[in-house]
Amino acid sequence: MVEDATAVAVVEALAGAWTVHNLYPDPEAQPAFHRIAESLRNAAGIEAIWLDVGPGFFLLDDREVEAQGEAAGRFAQRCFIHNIATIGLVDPPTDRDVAKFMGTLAMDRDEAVAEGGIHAMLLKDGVSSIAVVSRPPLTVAETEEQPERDASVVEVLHFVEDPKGLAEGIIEEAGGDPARVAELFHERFRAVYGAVDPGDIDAREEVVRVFVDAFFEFEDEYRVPSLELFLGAHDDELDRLFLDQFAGHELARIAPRLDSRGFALLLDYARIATDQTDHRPEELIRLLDAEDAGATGAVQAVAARVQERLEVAGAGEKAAPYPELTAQIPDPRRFFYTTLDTFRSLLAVEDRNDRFRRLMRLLTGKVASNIRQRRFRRAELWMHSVTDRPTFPTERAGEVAEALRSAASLDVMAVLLDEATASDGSPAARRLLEGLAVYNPGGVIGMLAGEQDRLRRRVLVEVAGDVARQDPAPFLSALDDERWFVTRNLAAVLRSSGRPEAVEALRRLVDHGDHRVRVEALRGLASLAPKGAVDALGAALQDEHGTVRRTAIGLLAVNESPAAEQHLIDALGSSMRTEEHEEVVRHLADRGGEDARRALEELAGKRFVLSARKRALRTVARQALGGMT
Amino acid sequence: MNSELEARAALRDLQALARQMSLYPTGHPSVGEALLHGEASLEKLASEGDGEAVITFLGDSIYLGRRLLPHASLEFSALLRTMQSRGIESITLTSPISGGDVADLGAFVAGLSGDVPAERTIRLNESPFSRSELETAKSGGLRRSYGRSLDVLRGMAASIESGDDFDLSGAAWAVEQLVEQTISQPSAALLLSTMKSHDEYTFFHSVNVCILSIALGRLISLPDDQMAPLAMGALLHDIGKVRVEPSILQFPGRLDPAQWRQIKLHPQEGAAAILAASAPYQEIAATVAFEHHARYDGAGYPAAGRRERDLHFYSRLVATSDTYDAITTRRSYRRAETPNRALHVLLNGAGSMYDPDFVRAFIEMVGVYPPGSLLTLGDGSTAMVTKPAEAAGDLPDVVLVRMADGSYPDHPVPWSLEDQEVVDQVLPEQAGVDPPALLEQAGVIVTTV
Repeated sequence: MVEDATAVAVVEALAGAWTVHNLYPDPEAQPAFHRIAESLRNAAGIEAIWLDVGPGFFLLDDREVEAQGEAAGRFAQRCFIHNIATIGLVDPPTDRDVAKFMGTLAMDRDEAVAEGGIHAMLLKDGVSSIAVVSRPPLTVAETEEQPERDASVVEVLHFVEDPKGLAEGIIEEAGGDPARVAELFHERFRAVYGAVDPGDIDAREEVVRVFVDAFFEFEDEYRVPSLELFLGAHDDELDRLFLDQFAGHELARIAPRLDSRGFALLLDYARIATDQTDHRPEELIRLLDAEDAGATGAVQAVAARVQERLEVAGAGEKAAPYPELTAQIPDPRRFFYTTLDTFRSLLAVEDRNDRFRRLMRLLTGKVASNIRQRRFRRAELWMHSVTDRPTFPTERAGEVAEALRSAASLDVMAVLLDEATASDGSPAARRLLEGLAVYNPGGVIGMLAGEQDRLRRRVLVEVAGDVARQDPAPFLSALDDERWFVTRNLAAVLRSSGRPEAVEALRRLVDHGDHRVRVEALRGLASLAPKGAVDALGAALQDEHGTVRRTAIGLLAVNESPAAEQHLIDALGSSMRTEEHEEVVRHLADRGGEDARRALEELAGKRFVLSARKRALRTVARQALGGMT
Repeated sequence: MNSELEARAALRDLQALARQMSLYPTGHPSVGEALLHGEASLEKLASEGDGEAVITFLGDSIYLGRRLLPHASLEFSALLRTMQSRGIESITLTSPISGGDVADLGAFVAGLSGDVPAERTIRLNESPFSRSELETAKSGGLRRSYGRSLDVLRGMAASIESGDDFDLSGAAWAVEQLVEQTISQPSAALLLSTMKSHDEYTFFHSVNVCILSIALGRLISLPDDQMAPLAMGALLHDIGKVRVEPSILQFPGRLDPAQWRQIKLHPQEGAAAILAASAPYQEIAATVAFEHHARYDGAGYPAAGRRERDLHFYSRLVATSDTYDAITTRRSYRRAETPNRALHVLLNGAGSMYDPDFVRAFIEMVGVYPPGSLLTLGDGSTAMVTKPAEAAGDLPDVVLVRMADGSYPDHPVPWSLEDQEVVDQVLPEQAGVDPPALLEQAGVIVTTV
């Protein structure tokens, strides 16, 4: 039975993921996102968790999940908008799974419906760890029963297609005075949203949207004071709701124009929004960072402002006799980064072989000792000092790689794996594991071979997959290992590598003596070469082992080629277990093609069926045909 | 009355003699030369002290007669420890000194022989002074901190020379003490920073730069928690010189390109050595060591194009202090300049070599006549500045250190520059005085522990 605390953790994690997803253009790259996904994995690693969705809250076995903060409420509302009745974590989700889920939730409801709904989209994206159950569709009569809307709401909703009109109306009403425009805009949003019936989900969503769109119709002279008003009350639920609609790079564009107070408020909001309680300046800067090229200048300006504020704060309140110097007093928290710059400069100027080697030994020591002392972020930054925008001559690359390989010793990698799989582990440890694994793939293969724990193995497979994406050779050459589980793990690595070189090797593994290896090989083939895998999958329908057959059925079911469908049709006449046949029938019904229909009709139309199993199958076929449109 | 300068010369020669005797056989020319120097300087010390001079080694101090030798106590701390390890508490010199006794003393100090000087012109442990008769409570906290910082640098140098990584925890402790002392007695600290040593130039220079930088940091309201990191950077800024051949550092002329290339490596050598250590404040110290010869305008070395970013604040601050102390110190290739001249050099380089804001602050800190400045007055006497003028137009505090007739007062005499004309600024060697020692005598350097 799922404990309440676990449910709270899951809800808060999902809500956190939703917040991060809305703040960053690339949420998966954010440490916070990885941390959140990690906590979901830990929760779901014990047992499947199903949560019912209410309008603004979640239920576990009819008890409200008492999650802290407003983010959970906002997330529940979002799920509610998409008609999600229940969310299930049926397996530990990967970062990608969580990101895909959030991505589908971020879609407009109508768009999601047009794509077949959240559930179908998740399946299509290969997300099986997270499941959703939709509420029954409303009847026509129900949809016509719209709650009565307040006049102010109706008036604003007229601007859904014309947000500029709303913006212009407010400017006109304020006589063009920026402060007054801001006041009116702020008041109007709060008043109108407050007047929406809580059950009128459409109106709630559209009111927020029209105000946000109108905001972007403003010129800067109106935007800045308006945003400042919302920031000034960002702990208020309504104002926060408005602010949460902005992506990080959108805030970054506006941030440089805010005055000191407004800027401070933005930072406060940013800190709260990302749960960054340690307030490290580089994380704040990154918060406002974006891949949006147009925002680069703004981000730099924001970075400078953050630094300036930190410096001023560091100088204290005393009146300084040399203001031009005190204004430059550095922030001690930046000293470490300054040191890294110095190290990078040393690498640039050092042209003596023996001294360069000494610097490399120093690098090895810094990375390894920081990891052993569990100062993962520092170790990561040392690693980045040579991997990001290298300053050393290219001919030294081999020596640098060797230094990192030395740092990636097995004991160091073991510390990283411990941390990366711990419930409260540092995200930097995971990144370090990935970063250093590139320099010691043999070590990773060795760790994979001996790893018994499911979660740790999964992490290692993901890490190794990243390595193999760059160079699959070490993994291909290790496939001949006599231990089935080593080969199985390597097959999984090759699947996640996405490299075409792996296809032939996986094809050979389809005939491996152990069924678990065959299953992984089929998955890999289906992933890397969907068309080329069809025949192997078809053949696997006759495999002696049920797991292999079911895997093949599932993989053929999601394969869109006619040949895959034909294999499924052929399977109806083969000797399979009844439940496997039933699964094939359901998949064929889902595909809905003419050939599939004919095959099912033939099965359903059989008159003289003697065995109970075949009669049951006929019944399933008839039911499936009934569901086909 | 013999001066501390003569005592330091005698101790330097005794130290050199012991070193040569431990390296070479008795008949070696180097030993012979060292013997001649030692005999001469010990004889001079004894004869100018009314035929007898007593040098006492007690605790961390060296005394001449009853008088504490503060500068010598720091400069010859290694010799002091050697003496103590050999059980020598005092040396009594009686003129005329015998050359054989000097050789016996050298062998005894070098640990080559247990024979005391046979002719008794040099007697060991026969001091006429009891401990209570010696100038007590002169082991000031500031000087002690200075001495500890020197010891730290000596230890580090030995580690670097032998290729070992060094432990910076001792340095952290030393700079914390120095920060505390400098902040509580800024004028005295600035005076102490006029201490020079030709033999251990780098170490004394480093501690001086450390003191000057702490004082400058204090002046510009650097937060308390940044004082120790700044001090660490300043103390270790030249540590890379340990890896430069001493013959190049002491080369008495223009360096050739190869020698110059080696000198220019010391910032990166220092930075790498500091980075290899692991201790508080290490991070920023490496940066200061790396950048202290980079110029404000981007020139200097290492070249700007190969540095990752603009010069660090601390590097610009330390570069100012570094230049001031280097110019006021005698080197093998040039004479020392007066503090006033050093300020001119800083002013000329403001905006190009040095950060102009730091130059302005530095000059305001030390005044036109920095502490330790020796001023020749209109009547021919010499006064020494003990405290810079508080404001423009004010006069600095001074003490009289040499009378108009060329004689020296027993103790520095508080003096006033009111109605006095300053006609020249002279160097300690020219005036025949040792400013830090005089100022400790004058009570300017507070002697609390």
